[in-house]
Amino acid sequence: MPTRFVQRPLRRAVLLAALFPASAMASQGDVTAEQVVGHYADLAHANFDDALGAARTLDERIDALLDNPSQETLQAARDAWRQARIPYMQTEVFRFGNPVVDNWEGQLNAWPLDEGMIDYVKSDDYHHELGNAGATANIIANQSIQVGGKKVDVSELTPELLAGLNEIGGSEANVASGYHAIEFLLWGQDLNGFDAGHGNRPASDFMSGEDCTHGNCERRGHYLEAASQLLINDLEWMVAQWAPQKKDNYRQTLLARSPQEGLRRMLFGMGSLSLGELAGERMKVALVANSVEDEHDCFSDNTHNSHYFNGQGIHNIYTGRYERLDGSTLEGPALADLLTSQNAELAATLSERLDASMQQLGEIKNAAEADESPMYFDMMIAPGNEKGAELVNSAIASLVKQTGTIEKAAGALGVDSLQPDDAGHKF
Amino acid sequence: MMTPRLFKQLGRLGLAALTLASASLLADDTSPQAREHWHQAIEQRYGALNDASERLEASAERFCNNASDAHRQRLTRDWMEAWQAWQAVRFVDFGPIEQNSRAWQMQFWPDRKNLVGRKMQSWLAREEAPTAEQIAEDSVASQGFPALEYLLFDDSMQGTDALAQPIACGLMSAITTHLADTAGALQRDWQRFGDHYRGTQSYTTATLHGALLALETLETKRLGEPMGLTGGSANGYLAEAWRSERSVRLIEASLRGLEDTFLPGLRTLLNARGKPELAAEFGAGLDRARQGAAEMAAGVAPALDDRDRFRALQGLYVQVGQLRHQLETIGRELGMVRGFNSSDGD
Repeated sequence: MPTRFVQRPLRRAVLLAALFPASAMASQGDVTAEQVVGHYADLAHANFDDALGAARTLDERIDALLDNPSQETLQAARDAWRQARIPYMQTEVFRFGNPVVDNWEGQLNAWPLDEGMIDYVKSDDYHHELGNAGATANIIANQSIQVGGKKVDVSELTPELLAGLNEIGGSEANVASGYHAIEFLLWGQDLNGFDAGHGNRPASDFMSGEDCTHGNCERRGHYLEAASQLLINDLEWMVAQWAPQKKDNYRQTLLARSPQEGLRRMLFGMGSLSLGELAGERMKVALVANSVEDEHDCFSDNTHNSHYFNGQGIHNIYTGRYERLDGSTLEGPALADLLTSQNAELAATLSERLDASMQQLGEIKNAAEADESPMYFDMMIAPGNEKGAELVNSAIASLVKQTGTIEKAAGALGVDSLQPDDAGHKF
Repeated sequence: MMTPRLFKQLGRLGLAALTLASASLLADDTSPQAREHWHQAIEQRYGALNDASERLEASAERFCNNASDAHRQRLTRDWMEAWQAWQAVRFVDFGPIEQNSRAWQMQFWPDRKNLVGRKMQSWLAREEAPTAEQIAEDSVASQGFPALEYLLFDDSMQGTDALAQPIACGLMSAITTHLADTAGALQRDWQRFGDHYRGTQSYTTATLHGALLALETLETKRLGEPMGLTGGSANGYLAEAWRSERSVRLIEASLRGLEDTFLPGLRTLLNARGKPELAAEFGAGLDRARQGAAEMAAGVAPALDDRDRFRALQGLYVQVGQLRHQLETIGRELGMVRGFNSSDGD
């Protein structure tokens, strides 16, 4: 995608900058890079804390489902999962640039996954990674599994066991834990292709005795419990990494480095999520290949929200504002303030570009949530769906433009290397 | 609690970088000369791709009229030559190639979930063969060289005359026509793009970066991943052209393209900097790696179970890594600064 083709700032942006009173610009100059990076750590802490809170609610709903499996308790658990995605997807902007997040996130959000490793799948409508020996292991139906040359005892389904099974046999598609594993257990395979409809796992998959459908209901419940517990453990660990007034956590490491390095990590996170991950992997590949296998939340058809809140996460870092799940707002010294003091015109342009992307991602969300004939992401990417393709393409174009402006902002803030931190490792 | 993903993450993030326009390159007045070289060389390459694609289209038609062994051999050869012609200019990731995902139209890859196979099976199951227009509107997985490779080499197509059947032949013809149309449009658009390319300083950096990214992709994705050298296990399906076992022939073509299309312009830049030895060293490395690849067996996947062949591939992997390192050094020498990259991601 052509970040190099980014147009010069729009005329409107220039006008905005011209209207900016000089005194306001001077006072913006009071914000220091150090303060901005400090507030960034606060944003991360609040955001991961919300993700943890929502994961705990999900865990309670999962307990309720397993205690009394019914359509209602299943629906309540699904609603909690969707709610849990709202804060989590906003945290992804912290992933790139902060090794502590990037090295950790695979256990929580690895995707796409070969779900046949976890549970039953419909054999003629299941497309796993070529050459993946674990793709049909079905942990729930077996006491031990054999992947490649490796035999693993899976009789006791614990959080630790699931963590250890990730990428077994060396394939990234072997995902045993995290949001998407839980999503699969709550929804099941989406067998509708490009047509309307998400996965339709019956609540009876968790019932006992003769009511149990598809076998191994008890183990399925244990699996779900273990995956949910692991998610909570992992999020607790990450919240602690960003907590203030703690010794030896990542926050301390980050704040001990130069403010310039902090800015670099912020901008690298924004740009990488915006372009390569969201616009590229999660939208463009799915669209031009017409591939439902490349849909992000493919079991639940929640993809429109995942994309939207990824975008919101990028927006949060720039504005320094994060709307918490309880409705309160966290605000503080923002990257926008710092950039305004350096180059008000560019700051206004970036603000406009970020708003434009949210507008486009909002259009996708609205189309998916429309009361009448909703169009979900997996329908948008169907061959020949011109309206869907236009929605997705407009969002991609907007994200590409926004990334070009993020690069310029980096330049204006004296961040001249947008390379990932290699933490001293050479490769 | 954490899985040891660090190395792999770094490998992936290592690709997460692109160029920002740099002051020293912008100020360099030899830069227009380099772009002049590059524009011409790339124009020739797109011309060769167009010619090869037209030969392939004609060859497909010939085979469909008379499915003789000789026509099939010629078809296979023309298909390989056209794919190699694409590989030689694949490092150009800016300009007209960016329109309508044309690079993916040529070659959708990697294809971890066999989308190419499933798209072909679904076309083959229909009552009528598609038109080139229908192929143009379909998934990129239906449009390029890997789709043709499925028709020529997949196990399911190995019956005596599976490809000669009207639906299969019509499908193949439609794909070759679409490919030739795309290649023709690329060549025309590149010519029209000439003034803008030559007159825009930032394309010097873009061209350097395209070559660097091509080497990074070659090292980590085209060799490292299928060979199991980037953290995962070896998996021949992750190699390009695994159905025809011709991955190394494609790599050879990419190296040749860098040698005769990218290197001359680079030499101009480095000569002007008083660093001709850097270009000479890089050129010698390219030549060694290409010659080595030319002498190797054609497939990556069969080498995974053959010690000698695997060792030869490892040698190539190391050489490509050195080339990547050399070009990074050259980039720094020329003041190249890296930014974001659209090919980053999981």
